[in-house]
Amino acid sequence: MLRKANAPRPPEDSVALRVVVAIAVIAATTATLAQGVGGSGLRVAATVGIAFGFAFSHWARHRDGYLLKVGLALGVVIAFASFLDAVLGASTGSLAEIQIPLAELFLWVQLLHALDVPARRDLLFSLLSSLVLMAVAGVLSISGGLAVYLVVWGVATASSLVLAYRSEIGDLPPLVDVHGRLAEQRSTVTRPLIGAVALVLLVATAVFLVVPAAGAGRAVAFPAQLPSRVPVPDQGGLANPSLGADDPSGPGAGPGQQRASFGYFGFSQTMDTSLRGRPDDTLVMRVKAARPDFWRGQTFDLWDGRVWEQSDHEPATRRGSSPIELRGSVEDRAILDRSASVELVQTVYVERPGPNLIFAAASPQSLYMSDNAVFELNDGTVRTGVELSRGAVYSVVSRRPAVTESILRAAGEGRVARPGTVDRNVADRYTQLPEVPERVARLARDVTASSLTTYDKVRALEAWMGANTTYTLDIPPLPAGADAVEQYLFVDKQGFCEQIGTALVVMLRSLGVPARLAVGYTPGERNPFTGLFEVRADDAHAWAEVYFPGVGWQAFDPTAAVPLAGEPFSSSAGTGLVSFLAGRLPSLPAQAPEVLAGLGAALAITLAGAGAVRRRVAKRRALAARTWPDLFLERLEVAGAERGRPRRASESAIRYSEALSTSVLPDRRVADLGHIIETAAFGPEGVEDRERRLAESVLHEAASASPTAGREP
Amino acid sequence: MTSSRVDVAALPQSFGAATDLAGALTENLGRVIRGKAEPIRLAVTALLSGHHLLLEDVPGVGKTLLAKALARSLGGSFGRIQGTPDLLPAELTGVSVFRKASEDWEFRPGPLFANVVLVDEINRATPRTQSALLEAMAERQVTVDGTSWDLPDPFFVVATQNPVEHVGTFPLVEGQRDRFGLVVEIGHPSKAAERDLLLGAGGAEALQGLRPVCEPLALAAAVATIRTVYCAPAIADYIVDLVAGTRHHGEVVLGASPRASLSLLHAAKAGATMAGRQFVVPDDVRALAVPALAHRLMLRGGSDLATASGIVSRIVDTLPVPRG
Repeated sequence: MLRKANAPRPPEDSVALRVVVAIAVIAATTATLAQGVGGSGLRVAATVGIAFGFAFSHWARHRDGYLLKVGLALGVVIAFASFLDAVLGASTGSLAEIQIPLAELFLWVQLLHALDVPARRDLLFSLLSSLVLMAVAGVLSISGGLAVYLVVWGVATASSLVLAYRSEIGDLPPLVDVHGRLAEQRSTVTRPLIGAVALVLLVATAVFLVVPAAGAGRAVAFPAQLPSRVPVPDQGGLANPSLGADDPSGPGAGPGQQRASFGYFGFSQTMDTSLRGRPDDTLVMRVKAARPDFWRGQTFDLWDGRVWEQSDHEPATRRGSSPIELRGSVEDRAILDRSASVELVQTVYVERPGPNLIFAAASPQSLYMSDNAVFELNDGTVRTGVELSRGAVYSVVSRRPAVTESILRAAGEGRVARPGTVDRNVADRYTQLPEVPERVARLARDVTASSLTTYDKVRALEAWMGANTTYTLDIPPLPAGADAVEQYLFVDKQGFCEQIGTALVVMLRSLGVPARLAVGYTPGERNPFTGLFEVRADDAHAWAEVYFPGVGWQAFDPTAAVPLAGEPFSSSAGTGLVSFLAGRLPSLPAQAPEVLAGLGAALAITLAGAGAVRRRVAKRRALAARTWPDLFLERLEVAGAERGRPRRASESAIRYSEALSTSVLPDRRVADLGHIIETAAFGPEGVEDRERRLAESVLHEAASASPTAGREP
Repeated sequence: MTSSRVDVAALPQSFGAATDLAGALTENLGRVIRGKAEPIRLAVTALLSGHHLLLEDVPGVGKTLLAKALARSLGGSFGRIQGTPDLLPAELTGVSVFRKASEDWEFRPGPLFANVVLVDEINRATPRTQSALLEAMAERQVTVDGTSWDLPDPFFVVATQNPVEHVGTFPLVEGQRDRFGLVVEIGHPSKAAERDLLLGAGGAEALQGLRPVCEPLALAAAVATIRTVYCAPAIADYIVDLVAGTRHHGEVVLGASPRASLSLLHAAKAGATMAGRQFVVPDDVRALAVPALAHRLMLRGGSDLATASGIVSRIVDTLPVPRG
């Protein structure tokens, strides 16, 4: 039994099968390499080596190759040793650092295996390991670029499976063939192939829409990576290369220090609301998270009527190595310690060099990062000590209290904050205001006159602003000496998030409600194919955070719809698929008639297609009902007919093959084919697969040796 | 009542032995009948298929010689009947004789009680004698004075007839011809074979020196073994189609019977065995269709074997072989 299982398989002669398998393997390999796996040596070795390996395997398929096998075994041992070396040498010992060496090990094994794939079974094994590589690439991938590889790999894999299956049932199209016949045979490969691909797409889409979104929380390892370690000039301070000369905290306005088109002036130590100009739609980062949230960078607590500023100038240093445990603000910590909270894990992939801020949902608890020190401000926001350039990856675990509307309404009712308590300290710090213009304070009082709770006050103010001001990016400059909030509420009556958020904070503070301005990014658009939120520069945002005693800080924003924490956010992997696609298709209403016509046509095609599929299924069943001797006799007949010796209907396979062997297919072994066919057809036990394959290869060789060209029919 | 029947199922069945036996028989016959491989092959096929053989040809081509050689090669008992108009059925089957000593009737078996029975010039016997003979061939038993006697096993009849002579003959009717599994025409020898014959090779001298190649029991075992040769459903369909072809042919009044299908199948199994195969292929059927079917057809313009053979040949050459 064992001996039979390990017996050498007959070599695979089909070049077509070998080529499609090679394409699948190379697609999977390059897909993995494209995720930043491996150095340049592995890149060259993998791309060139696998192609060479397949060619070599084909050439050497009839050889024993013991030496080669020994060499390959040695190679695998070396690859494994280097993997172990990489793993043991990993600095932090986190699982995330094994990911890349493991992918490299996979690549090496795939490369070495390519050198020794003589038989069909080996080819199919290679195909299977390419599936693993594809999965590795899928895990590492953060962009839709994988789709290209996936399509190539999928088509090649499906083709090889169809070819292997056809070869198995003896229906592999002869490679030496006349054009007409070949075209017909080809359609018997293409059609099931198209069917298989369509079916896979259908099933995959269905599964995609049903399975829950993974997010980053389910990952075994939290990715963290720094392509380069460049310390920021001012440790603990803020550096934002994307602001260039505009950065008030920068080293100075040097010539050529142009602000990048995507730099947002809010990511600075101060935020001047008189500044205008918005970033473009440059992709700045991708965020892997199970649900959308504000990706907060920092908050401002000091307001002077025009400019927001931070009071904390001495951030605390937090040390550690993956993860770095953060403390959070005093109030956050007090609340998280005693109330139910929800956790959100997010992994941020930096696409453009930006500020050294850790963007995360409130409130970050631990940070996975390839650096062992960060700086935490007393509001719970975090700055890094190194520049976050393109390719930097960090993961943050955030927690915040689970809240609902009713909890927020009930918060702080009937409680008086005694001096020295957390609530009192927060109130003291976050209600301070400069001289507020009288009509602003009056407006706040008037609008909230009928509101009993803080939550209702916030809602009332939001509603008033929504009704009486308009959101626009295009507002006039702030006149010198004017109060930004007054100007927005009573003069311009239009503004964007800084104005709206600031007005909300200032009015709430005037009512004695603790509030602050937070800056960061809105969730961005979720790409359903990668499952990642794509955050662009113009997603940069400012919003109000309001403190509820006993509940904590809660973000409010009339312009961005972000669910409250604790509200159920159910999503599948395919959530947003339609809106994602719709955003990339031309707007529909203008072309409604064409769209309807198109839908009608699609329906008609679908119905016609269903009929065709049914006929096709019937045909395939008929084909599947045909036996090997029948099909193989047909190949013999084709080979004979093409050379001018068709089989007579009453001529048995034995006689026919004997006749061919002495005429148009002058190969002694051809005479035996009839016996094999008839033994398979009429014998009580048929023939073994081995004999079938032998027969197929004999016919193939005889046909190759005796081409149709140059013969008179 | 005596029984010489053998329980063939209890015989050692060996496929290889059956093939070897066929080879030995063919070789033995070849020593006597020179240059006639095909008739010899057909004769051996008929023998191994368990059906009777009719040799039909002009005088002097070796019909009787072949029949004798066959009988001699088989060992066992040999009976010979010369067909004449005055031959009586009792002379074939045997008679009951009153013995004074025992004061009882004692059955004296006739020449039919043998493993191989040569019936020479069968068409010279009267229809009454013919039907007694043919009944014995079909039933493998004879009934004398109300008592049935089993014929020995194996029981193999080789009959000869001359189709050209009509004076003083009683041609076998179709129903009687149907009892023969195969009809073989020997034909004139080639020049080389005839020259060999003149120079003393083969012929009657060789017949004298012929040794039996097997025991009767071995032949019975071989016949039983051959019946177990595998016939694929597609082959059975093919035989059915062939036979149906003779029934639907325009020149044929009465086509081949289901007995014909069965005897063609048995012959094909024997043919497969002789080729060392344990399953029937279309070529086995094709090669035996004419000798197994042609003599059973009743044609519109009077039955003659040559025309019927032509019809069967054409059916074989136009009917597609099964593909499996």
